[in-house]
Amino acid sequence: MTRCVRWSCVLALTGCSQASVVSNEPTPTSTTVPPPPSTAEMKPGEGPTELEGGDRPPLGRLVRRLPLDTLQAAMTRVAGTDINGKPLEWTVNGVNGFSDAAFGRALGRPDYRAATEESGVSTALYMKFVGDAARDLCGKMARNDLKRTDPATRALFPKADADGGATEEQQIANVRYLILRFLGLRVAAEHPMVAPLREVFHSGRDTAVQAGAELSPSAEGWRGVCVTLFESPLFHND
Amino acid sequence: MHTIHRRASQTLLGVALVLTASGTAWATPPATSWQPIERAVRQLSLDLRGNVPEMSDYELVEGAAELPDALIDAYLASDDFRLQMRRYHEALLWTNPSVSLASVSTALGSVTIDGVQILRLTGRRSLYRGGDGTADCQAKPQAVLGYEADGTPKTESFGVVGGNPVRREGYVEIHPYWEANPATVVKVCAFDAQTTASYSIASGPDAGTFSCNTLQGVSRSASCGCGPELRGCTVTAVGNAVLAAFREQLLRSVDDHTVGGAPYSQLVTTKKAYVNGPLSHFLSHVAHTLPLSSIQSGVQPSDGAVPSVPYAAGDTWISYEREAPHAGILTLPGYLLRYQTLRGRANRYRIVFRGQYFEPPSSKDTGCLDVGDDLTLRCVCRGCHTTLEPLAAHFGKFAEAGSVSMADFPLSFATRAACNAAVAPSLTAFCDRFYAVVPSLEDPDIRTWRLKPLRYADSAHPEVQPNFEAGPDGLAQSDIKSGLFHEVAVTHLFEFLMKRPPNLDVTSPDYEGETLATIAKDFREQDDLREAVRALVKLPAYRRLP
Repeated sequence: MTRCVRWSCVLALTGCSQASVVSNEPTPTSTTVPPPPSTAEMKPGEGPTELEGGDRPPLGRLVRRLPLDTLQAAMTRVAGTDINGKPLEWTVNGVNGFSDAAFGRALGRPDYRAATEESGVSTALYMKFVGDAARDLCGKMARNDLKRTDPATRALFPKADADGGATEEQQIANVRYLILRFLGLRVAAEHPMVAPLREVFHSGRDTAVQAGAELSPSAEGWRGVCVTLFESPLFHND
Repeated sequence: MHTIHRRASQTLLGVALVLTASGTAWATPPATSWQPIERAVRQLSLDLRGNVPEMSDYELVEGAAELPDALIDAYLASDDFRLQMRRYHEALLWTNPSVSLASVSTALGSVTIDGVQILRLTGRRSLYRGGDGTADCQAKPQAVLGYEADGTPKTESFGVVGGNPVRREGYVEIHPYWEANPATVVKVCAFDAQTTASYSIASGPDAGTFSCNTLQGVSRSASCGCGPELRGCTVTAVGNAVLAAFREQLLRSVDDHTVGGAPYSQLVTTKKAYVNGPLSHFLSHVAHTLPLSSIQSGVQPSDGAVPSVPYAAGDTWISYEREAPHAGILTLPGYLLRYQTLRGRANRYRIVFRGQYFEPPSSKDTGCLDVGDDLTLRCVCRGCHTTLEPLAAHFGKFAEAGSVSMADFPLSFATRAACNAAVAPSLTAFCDRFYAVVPSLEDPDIRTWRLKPLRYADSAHPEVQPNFEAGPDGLAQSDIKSGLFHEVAVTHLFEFLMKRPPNLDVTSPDYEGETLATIAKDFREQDDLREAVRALVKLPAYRRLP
C-alpha cells in the first residue's frame, strides 16, 4: 500500500497519469505538479523501493549537467535584462564570468585543442563559480526590478511588490512564478518546494530588516530565493 | 539565512532526484512517466537552442499534453539551432586547428631601437644587413639616407661582425594591410618594406627572373621585401585572424548543410567553400611563402579561384567552388590542419562518419613481423593498420602537415634531381617534403621518388592506389551510398538528444535499433538534418522520465 502511494505520488509529481502504464504514446499532463507524499509514510527500517527488484521501466532520455555554453546562456536568459534592455550577465573584471576570458577554461569549456570533451561533473569549482554567478546575477535582477514601475516587466518579483506590502497569496504566486521561470516546473501552491522557498524569502527579508541591507528587505528576500533556485540541481539538469 | 537557504536547496535536491531517478530495478510494474510539459519544453529548448525557454513558451504549452509541432518548428528554425548544430559538429569533429602560420622570414616582430619601435623580420637580417645576422636597421628615417638608383635603400657601414661587414639602413613609415584605418602607419625597416615584385638570378642552372612572393624569393633575395602594404608578411594578430577564419570557414559549411537547405550528406562532398578577408589574404600572399618545414597551405589549381577579399573585410564571407579532389569539410584547412597526418584524418572520419573505433587486440598476435616499416605487417600494429592504411590513402592528395592539394603534383620522379627541379628556382627540400624514395620490388637499383602517400602502393597493398585516386570524395560517396553515413549520423544525434547511446541489444524489450533504422532511412531520403532531429525529439523516449 505504502509502495503504491509512493508510486502514485512520484507519477503525480512528474505530471503523469496512472492510466499511462507502459504506453508508447504521451499522455495528457496536468497543468500543475501536485505535491509528493510526506516522508512520514515510510516506516522505520523500510528501504527505497528502487532496491526491491521488479521490472525495469522503459528507456527514456537521461539528464546531464548543462554544458558551460548552455549554462552561460540559461543564466543570462533567466536573469533577464536591465532597465535599458541589456541582458544581465555575471561579470568578472568587465567580462562574462563564464567566458574564456574569465573562468570558462577553468570550468572545463573544451577548446578542441587541449581539451576535447566537457566534463559533466559538478565539481566543487563548478559549484563555487555557480554560487558566485548566482549572487552576482540575483543582485542585479533585484536592483533592476526595484527601478521598474510596471510589475509585469520585472524578472524577480513580478507578482509581489518589494515594498513589504505583499500578501501571502502574492508571495506564493511569486514563488510559483520563479519556480517556473528558473526550473521549468508549474507547481501548485501546496507543492513542497513552495514553503521552503517562502522561508528563504522571509529569512532574507527579516535579516535585512534587522541588520540593514543594500536593497529593500523584500528585495533581499527575493534575492535569496533567486540564489537558491540558481543553485538548485533542477536548474543545472538538462 | 544560510541554514534556511541550505534546507531549501536540499528540498529542491530531493525533488530533483525524484524527477531524475533512474533506478536500475523498480518495485512495481512501472507506469510510463513523462516529463511535465513545461519541463519537456525546457529540455527541448536546451537541446535545440542551447538555452532555456522564454516565459512565453511556458505559457504556450500550459495545459498541453504534447509538445506543439509549432514550437518544435520554431526552435528548429531559430538561429540558436544553427549555433547549437555548430557546437554539435565541433564536438564531433574537434576542428579548431592550432598551427603556426608564421616563419622568421615572413613574421614581422617589433624591436625598440634608440627608443623607436620598429618592425622587422628576424629571419632576413643576415640577408639584408650581413654581419652575424643580428643587426637591425637604424632609428632614422630612410629618407635621410636615400635610395640607390635601382630603388634599394642606401645603407651606412657598421664595421665587421662575425667576419662579415655590417650595413644598416633606416626605417620607413607604411600603412600595413592589417590596419583598417588607412591613416594608421607603422615604422618598418626599409629593407623589409621593399616592394620589389621580382628578383633575378644571373647565372647557373637556376638563372632567370622570379617572383619575390615565393618561398625562394623571401628566403634568398635581399632585393625582396614584404611588398606593398607589407602584404607578404604577418604579425601575430594576422595569424590569429587566419586561424579563427579556418574554424569559421568550416562552420559556415556546417550552417549550409544543417539549416541552410543544402543536403546534409553533401557536408562531406561539396566543392563549395567560403573565404573572408584574412583567409583570402593569407592564401593569396602568405601561404606559399612559408618554409617547407612549416605548414603547407599554398593555393593550387585544384583549389579553384579563391576570391580576392580585402583583409579588413573579416566579416565578409564569399563562396567559391573548389575542384576535385576536394570533398566538403574533409578538405578544408580546419579539418586538414587539425588532423595533420593521413592516418589522423582517416581515424577521425571513421569515428565521426562511420561510428567505428579502433581497439587494441586482446590476444597475442602471431605470424607477423616484429620489425619493419610496413605497419600492416607488424605484430600488434597490424590490428589497426590493415584497416587504417587503406583508409588513410583516401586523404593522400592533401599533404600531411598542411592543407595543400597535391592533385596537381607529378606522382613520381625518376631521380631526386628531377624531383627538386620540379620547382623553379630549385628547392632542395621540396623533394623530401612531398616525396619518398621507393625501391622497386623487382630491381632495387631502380629507386624512383614517389608521392609519400603512394609509398606502399604496390601489389602487396592493392587498395592504396585506387583509394588515393578516389580521394576523400570517393570515401564519403561510398558511405553515403551504402546508407552508413545517415545511420551513423542518426546515432550521433540520438546520443546528443537522449544523453545516452541507443539500446541495440536485440534481445531487449527496449531494443531501439529498428526505430533508428526507420529514422535513418527517412533521413537518407530527405537528407535534411532538421527532419531527423524532429523525428528523434518526437520519440516517446525523449519525453519519458529517465
